[in-house]
Amino acid sequence: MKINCCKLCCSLFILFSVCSSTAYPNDTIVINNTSITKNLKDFSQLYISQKASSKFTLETLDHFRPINDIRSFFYLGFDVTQAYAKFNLENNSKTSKEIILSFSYPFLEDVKLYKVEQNTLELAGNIGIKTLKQSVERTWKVATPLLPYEKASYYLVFEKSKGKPLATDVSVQDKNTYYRTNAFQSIAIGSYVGLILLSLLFTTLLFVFIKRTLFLLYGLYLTVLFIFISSYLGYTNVLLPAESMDTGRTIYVISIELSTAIFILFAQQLLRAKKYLPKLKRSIEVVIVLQFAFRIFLHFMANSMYAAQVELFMKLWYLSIVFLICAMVYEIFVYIKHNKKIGAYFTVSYLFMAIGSILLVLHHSFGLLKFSFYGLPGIFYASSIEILFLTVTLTLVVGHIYQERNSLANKLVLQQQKFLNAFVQGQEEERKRVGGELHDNIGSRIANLKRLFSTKYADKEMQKEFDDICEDIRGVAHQITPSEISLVGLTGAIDELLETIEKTEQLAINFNTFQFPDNLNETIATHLFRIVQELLQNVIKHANASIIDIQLFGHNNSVTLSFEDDGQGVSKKNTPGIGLKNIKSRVAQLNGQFLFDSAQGRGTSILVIIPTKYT
Amino acid sequence: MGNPSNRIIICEDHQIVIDGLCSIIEHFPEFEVVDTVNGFSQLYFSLKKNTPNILLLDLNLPHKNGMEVLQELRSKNNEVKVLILTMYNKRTIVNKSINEGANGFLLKNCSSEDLYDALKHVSREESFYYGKGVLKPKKESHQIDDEFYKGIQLTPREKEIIKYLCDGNKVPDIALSMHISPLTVETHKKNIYRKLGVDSSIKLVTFVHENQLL
Repeated sequence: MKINCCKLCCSLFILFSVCSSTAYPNDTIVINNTSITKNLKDFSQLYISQKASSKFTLETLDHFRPINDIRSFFYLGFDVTQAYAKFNLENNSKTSKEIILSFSYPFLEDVKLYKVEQNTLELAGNIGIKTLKQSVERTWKVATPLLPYEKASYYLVFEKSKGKPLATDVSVQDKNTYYRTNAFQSIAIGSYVGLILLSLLFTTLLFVFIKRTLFLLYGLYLTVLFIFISSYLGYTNVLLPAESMDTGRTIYVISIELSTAIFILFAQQLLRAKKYLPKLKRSIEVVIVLQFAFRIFLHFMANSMYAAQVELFMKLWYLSIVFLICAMVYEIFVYIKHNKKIGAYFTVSYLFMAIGSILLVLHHSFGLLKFSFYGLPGIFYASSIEILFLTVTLTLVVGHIYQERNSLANKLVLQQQKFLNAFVQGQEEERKRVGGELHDNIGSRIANLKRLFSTKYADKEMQKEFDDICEDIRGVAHQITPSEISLVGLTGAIDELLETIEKTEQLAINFNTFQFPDNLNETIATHLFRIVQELLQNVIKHANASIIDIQLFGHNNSVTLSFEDDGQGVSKKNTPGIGLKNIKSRVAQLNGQFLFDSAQGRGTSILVIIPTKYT
Repeated sequence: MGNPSNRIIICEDHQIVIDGLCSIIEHFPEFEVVDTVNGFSQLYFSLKKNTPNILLLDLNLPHKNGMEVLQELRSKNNEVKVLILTMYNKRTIVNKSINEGANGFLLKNCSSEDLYDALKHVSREESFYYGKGVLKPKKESHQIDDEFYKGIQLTPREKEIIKYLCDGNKVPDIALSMHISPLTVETHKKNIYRKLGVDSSIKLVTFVHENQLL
């Protein structure tokens, strides 16, 4: 069953895998002058033992039994403790060669290479976490020299503890080819690191500016994924001191678990599970926490305590993984209905992430599949594509957020504008009402009263008092409403206004009109009058001006108010006061334009353009 | 009370004022209130029916204000003497009333003597009657009368822009050098053209040189 599956998958990934289903025809690797890269598995039979390991000699060979294994890589099941593979190397060239055996799995416990010399075993190389005494390179490798035309037999011996399966490629290369492959790998890894760092910078900036946990989670995910990939690629071997190299495996296990957990939390945020599927989200979170704890427990305690039950535990673990995958797929389907573009990009990245992880599990736990390219594991490529797509997805999300924010901000500004307009309009109406009431009704009635009294009593004092009251009412009424606009037009009203101002202020005000229409719409006239009033107030209060030029121009489709003073001017940074805001609101209500031109010491020039057609 | 020879119509929208006026005019032997109306629509019919000599006209009327009523009457060649009665004591309003063909201007807080004098003056003489305290229009200063002089009064900003325009600068360049928006320059330019009565930059330059504006 497993083998069938292997065949199927192999044919699927034939491009990437160096998988071969044919049995090894011979066990001799012939080295010519050309560079070689061979898969050791194609040339050797694997013998395994489940007994406690003892020292490996030619005499203990009968502790091992051969297994018929057509995998393209070495796989030692859960219970295997010791295994060996026998092969021959033959140098067909006249130069001596250095042959390098490199292992794809970076957490080997103990591997020894023995060369057969006159019926005894000579240790040719030794690597592994257990026995190594000095730091090594990223990949585990063993080198052995071959003299010209030399033919030699080798035993490659694996030792491992029970409960941990082991899956590794062993490739046989001459030194030059090994270094060439290594160079390619370095370039690929470098690009990968670059991609991760760029994405990390990107998401950090986004988090700083937008302050959404989504970006923080992505940053965390990238960091943990980076740790996972680098430990999986063997960088912990380089970084950690020889005596604590076993921690590399710990880092590997914790980071893979953590990255899965963070990825799922991140996906919950991205897919807005809280909004669309709150119940599923909660259960996913529970499962994640449980799974994380369970896996850590499995790796660091159960292995020694319940070695027999490990397979059962692993099955439970796979079950939770399957649940998570199904839940995620469901969430994606729900989300994609709301946002196709983001959903599609996320789906692609998730697909790569899931396939990469599944391949990894199938390879390492069951020895089912091998998927590597140029000596780098499939998960490495899958995760590069995943990150690329995730970063693009995040860019889309940011675009989405900004779109939302912008439309919200626009709405807010519009609403504020509406409020201000309504305020100004209401104010104007109320002023008109109160002013009219004072002037027409109360004023008239008091005037009449005075007349009625004056026919009966010729009291000078009383008459004067009446006159004063009338004068006061008129004054107040005019302050709050320019009701004479309808009688004398805007020009007349401004003339009156200037007259009262010139009485009290030391100001020379020139007021001229140029083809300004007499029959201007009363709303526009009233607003323009208020604007002039407001501007004059401003100048009197702040500008310290001596000359003011007010001009009204009539153009074909618009009227223009030009207001200039020779005051101290306003610097740009001064925020507009309520008066100026009021003016702008009035101009906006008339669909006009307000042009403000002022600099310190240059006076101020204000232009108000009001369209007269279509209003 | 003699033979009232002068028929008066009062056009006023406050009944209490009408009542007050009527009660006062009752005591003037030569005058008689023949009708009182609240607005233009009634006034129109009343004028046809009663053919009064004098119309006491309030300026603040609903729908159509007094000034408009006056304009309408004069445009229809109605020769009735119009005595404006209002709260507004503004030079511009007095001025406008004269221009529109009113015969007198009274403030609503006038005394009954003043009202009597006004009615007498308006019924007999052609000259304008200024009620007590009414602001008489200033003699317009010759500066403002002189349309041409007014037309070439330039503000500092306009002078600045004309200088640039006469040097052959285009609007965007002027905006850049003056640190203001092109629209501002464009608007000033439009205003200047209107003010000086020119419609092209060539005409502007010619005008500026002929009149030595700079």
